[in-house]
Amino acid sequence: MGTASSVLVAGVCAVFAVLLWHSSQWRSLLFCGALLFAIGMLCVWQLLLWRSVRGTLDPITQASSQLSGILEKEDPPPLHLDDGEKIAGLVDSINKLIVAAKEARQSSAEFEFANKVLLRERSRISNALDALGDGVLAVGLDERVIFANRAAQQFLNLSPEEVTGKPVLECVKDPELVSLLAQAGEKAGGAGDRMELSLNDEASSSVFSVNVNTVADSNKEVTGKCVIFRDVTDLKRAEQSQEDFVNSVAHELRTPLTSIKAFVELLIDGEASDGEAQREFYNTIYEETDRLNRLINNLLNISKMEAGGLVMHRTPTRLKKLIEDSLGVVESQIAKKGIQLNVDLADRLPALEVDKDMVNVVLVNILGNAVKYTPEDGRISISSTSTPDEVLVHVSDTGVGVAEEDLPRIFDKFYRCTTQSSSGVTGSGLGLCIARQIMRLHGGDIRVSSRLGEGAQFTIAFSRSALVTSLGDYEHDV
Amino acid sequence: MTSRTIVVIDDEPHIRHVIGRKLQRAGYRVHTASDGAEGLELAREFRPDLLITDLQMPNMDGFKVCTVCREDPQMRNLPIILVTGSVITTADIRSKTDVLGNILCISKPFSPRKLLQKVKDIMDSGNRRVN
Repeated sequence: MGTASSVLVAGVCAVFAVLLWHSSQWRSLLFCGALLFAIGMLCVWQLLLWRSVRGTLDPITQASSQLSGILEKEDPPPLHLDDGEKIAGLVDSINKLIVAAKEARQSSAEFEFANKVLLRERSRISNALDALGDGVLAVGLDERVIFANRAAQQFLNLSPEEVTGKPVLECVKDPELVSLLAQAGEKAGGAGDRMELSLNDEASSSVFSVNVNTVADSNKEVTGKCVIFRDVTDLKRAEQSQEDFVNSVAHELRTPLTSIKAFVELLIDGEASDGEAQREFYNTIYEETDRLNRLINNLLNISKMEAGGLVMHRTPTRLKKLIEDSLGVVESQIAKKGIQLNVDLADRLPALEVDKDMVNVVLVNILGNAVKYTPEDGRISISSTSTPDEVLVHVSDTGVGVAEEDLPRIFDKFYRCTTQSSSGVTGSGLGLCIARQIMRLHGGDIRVSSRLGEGAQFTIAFSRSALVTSLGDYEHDV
Repeated sequence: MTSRTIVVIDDEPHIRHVIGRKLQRAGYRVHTASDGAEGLELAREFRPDLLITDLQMPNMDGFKVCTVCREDPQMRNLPIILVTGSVITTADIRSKTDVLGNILCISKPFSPRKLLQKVKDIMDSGNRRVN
């Protein structure tokens, strides 16, 4: 505006100079006076205009300076102008905006905080549910997955990324489970529908107990379903194992009972016409009664061992004496079958701190088996060796041997070998199981090597930790 | 009377012996086997009129013996007595034996006298049905 006024004044001066040169003196003087007045008025107007513009611009400049960076401030102050009357409305509006921005920022912070709390809580719940062994699958009314914990993801073979929002029927393939989900009660609080589900893959086979419940909000409006998967594979195996055990026990008890009952009946019916037949029947009854008694003892021992209630009474015992005592139990049977017995024990066998009754059970079991499975005129050898860690007693026979497929299971409870039935030998399948458990309780073990038809060698291994070291008389190396 | 043939399969020698003796004294021709495979061989060889088998045996159990018999056209209708010492429920056994057909189950411990009577009943029935 100043530039324009200067141009105007210069223009007027130029016109005045021209007129002064060309016009008459008076006319020129009058005209010039008028012109000077006009110029003066123009200058006054200019001055007033300038002041008015400055009066408006200054508060705006001040406001602009105050507003600069105001939103970055933690607590933005309201605009305060030295002379803001002319833009009072604008300042008022700006101050309202500052307050609104402050409130919005506060709300945003509160929202952010609430969101963080929510995420943390969600993470906590999710972590807690992930820690569960049971699978939890939450499904919305739109039949899409809301949540699946880690176990559910594993059971259903889903990756964590693809679970949420996925249609549940794409996650669940088993037709029975699909049907269960479809039938799950629509009423809130209804009793859950249960089923057992078998999931098999190449590596394993698992059984799940699946429970589907409806989920409702506080108004009892159904909002979805919750599926709980519980892996009951081990439970089912334990039940099956228990059932198999009871079945085996029943079978093993009834077998000698059947023989006893049958032979007694034959005797009652007078079918043993001669003395020899009678003796045979009585002998069988006698043997089967012993067998029944052994079976009951074995069952009690197994039961105690499995319950951890078998108390060992370790005493320093000469190994040689233990072997001799055990041989005494089976020597009549050895003689009866005409079996050749070779005993090749080291002169000075060590003393062991063992439960001698229990070790006697082991030795009698192993020697008894050797006698049972060795044919007449066969041979049984007993020898001893030692290693830096163990004292070993070897019992070898020339009996029927053990088939290769039987070897890994020969110590299993109630396992009976292929050769056992064909060789006409009776047994419960508990003796070796008990013998190994007893040796393991002593820190030792029993091992077997055999080939079908070529006899068997059982090695009873005593850990050197069982050696007696404090009794001078007993301290001997093998 | 033409002597009837019976194959007895049991892994227990005493039980094989007592059943065999009782049936032989009653006039039956008896062949005994200690396992399922041997028993089936005897059955194929001697074409018995009756098969008596234990249920619980190593390798091949009594159900498997019955199943193999039913797959053989010669033994499809052979009467079988299944002797069981286990605690498998009657319903479980029945569901299997119903499918296999013409099988009578008896439980251990059994009376040889009663077993013989059952054998006679089966042999005397015109169509060799177990019941």
